[in-house]
Amino acid sequence: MRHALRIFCFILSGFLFSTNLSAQFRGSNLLEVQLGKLPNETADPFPSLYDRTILNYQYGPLRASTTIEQYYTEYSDRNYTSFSQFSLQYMTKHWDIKLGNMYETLGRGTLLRSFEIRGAVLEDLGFRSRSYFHRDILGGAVKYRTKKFSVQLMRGDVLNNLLPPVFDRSERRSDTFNSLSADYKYYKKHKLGLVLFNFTKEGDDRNFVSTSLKGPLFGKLNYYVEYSQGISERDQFAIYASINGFAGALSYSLEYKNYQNIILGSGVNEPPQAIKEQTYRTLNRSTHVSNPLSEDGYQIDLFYSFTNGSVLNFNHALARNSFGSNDFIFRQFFLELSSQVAKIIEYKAFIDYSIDPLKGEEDRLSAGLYSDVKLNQKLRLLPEIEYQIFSRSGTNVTNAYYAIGLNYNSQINLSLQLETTTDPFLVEDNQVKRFYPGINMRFKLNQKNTILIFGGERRGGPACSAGVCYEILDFKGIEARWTTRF
Amino acid sequence: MNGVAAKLSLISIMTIIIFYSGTAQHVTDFSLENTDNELVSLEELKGDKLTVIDFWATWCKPCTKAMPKLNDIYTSYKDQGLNMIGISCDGPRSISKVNMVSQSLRIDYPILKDIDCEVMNAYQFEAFPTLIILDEEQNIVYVHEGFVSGDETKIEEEIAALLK
Repeated sequence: MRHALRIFCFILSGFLFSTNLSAQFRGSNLLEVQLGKLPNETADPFPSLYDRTILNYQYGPLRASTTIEQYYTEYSDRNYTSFSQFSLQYMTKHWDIKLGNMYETLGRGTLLRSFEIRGAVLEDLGFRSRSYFHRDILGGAVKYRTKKFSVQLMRGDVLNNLLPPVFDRSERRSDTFNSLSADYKYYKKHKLGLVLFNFTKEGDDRNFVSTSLKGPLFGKLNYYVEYSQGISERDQFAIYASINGFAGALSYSLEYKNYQNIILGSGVNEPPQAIKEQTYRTLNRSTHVSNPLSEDGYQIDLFYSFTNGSVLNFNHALARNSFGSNDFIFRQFFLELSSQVAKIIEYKAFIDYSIDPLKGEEDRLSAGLYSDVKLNQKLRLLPEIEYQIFSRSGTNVTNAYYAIGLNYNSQINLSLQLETTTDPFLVEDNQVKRFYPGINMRFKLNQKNTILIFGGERRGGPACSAGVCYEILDFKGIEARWTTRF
Repeated sequence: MNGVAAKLSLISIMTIIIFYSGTAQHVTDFSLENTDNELVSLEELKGDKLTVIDFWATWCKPCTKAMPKLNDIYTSYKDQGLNMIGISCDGPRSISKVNMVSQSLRIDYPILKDIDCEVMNAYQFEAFPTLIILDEEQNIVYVHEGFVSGDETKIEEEIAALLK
């Protein structure tokens, strides 16, 4: 009841103040209803409702925002209505002052990285409650910046996003940091960055220093170097470097990483993975996830643009994890061609070969073809196919994905999907193959409202989005989502 | 009690969503680094009549599909009071590829980097890519989420109509 009253008050005050012409009140809402079968769930079908509302009020340089999350099932211990975020921000040309919940990343995230994965509502097998997938900071930050330099002072408690809002704040935010960061443009477009970082968790207090350099070289090349180091613990460090540039039709990016013992708390930091983020279904699920306890390696990404608009992309990554006297070396070779046939068919074709000893997957070969066929001015046909084979402990595993979609005027999207696998971890007893059939429908009602409906069986497992990897649960049933802005 | 609170709060949220018809959103000035590591503001980059902002990421396939077509639109209308800005929401994992991808796609309009995606978050857009068009007063007059081939025609028609 207390939460409901707070929401009423916020909405009422927003309405009142937004009658002022220079003030704005806006918001968004995500409502998701599930009715189906989840792993280890006794209720079948299991109904649940998740809702996330963001309310935002702005008056000149001042912005106030709050996020309300709600989750309801038939089990009271999983249910909650929570003011999960509240923030105040004052921003001018030179000053940026924040109080409350915020997202901030220092450098490339070797010491601090927060994020929000849009649209990802997660449920953990251990805690069985759904919440939005994000990692924010609860605290304060003051930043002063000019075109020549910037200085920022920050203090905050970082969210452990494995724990849903049914847990107390003290349990969800047991990682605390203080930081002082600055950057200075010292020569033309070159910048030098410096971070002093203090991290505390349950009485364990540690200090770090980080420096970075970035800028252009020879006109057609950019570099970035970051080095973070524990001040007392000399064996805690992260080195990350990248260069990128172009030569005629060829563009390239090279990255190097060396991370040792650089996991802070529940995951306050997240150094760059230096592994390509794949959107293809089979490759996304197979993505190598960096282990900052001990990992070094590199990534090479090349793009070649043809004069007819076709683009060829080659990617190679190597990552070595050392545990005791054992080295596990992940290798990936990826090739993709994006092109067009007769102006009515656009396609992307890929082939990938990987060796992944940590997952025990040898000689993993994946290939796929995604097409977009123009049927008329408003109707498009979208056939997709992927195939993956590998060997694990002497057993051959095959994964496949087939989809056929129809898109009408970008407003209605229908897609029939079928995934299959022979993975012994997933195939049920007395069967040789498991099938995941499903239908996805998306209706864009107008510029502010979208409805998504899924029906069928969805394969869970690892998933990576916006640079972050996580686990999703298998699901069988119906799921409907309405997103709106107002 | 929890159930009552939940129903009340849900009802209140739904009420405001259904009945609130606010005026056009106004985009306040922001500053981000461009691909040359220079801090630039919306005020410096905005077009005389219209400003198109495209929120994208290097890992987003529809985004990279849209960008060459947006670049064609930019080339056609840049002399008529339009400017276009691409804001990359790439995080630490892929931000090093922003320059490379925009160069390989031969993008001429300015590309800015927003590692925490603060600008897009502030206006609560959910999808990649999201394209918005601002008028002279920096009010959002058009929003287009997602991209399939053919959408460029819709976007261009909207721009042409707004420039009249």
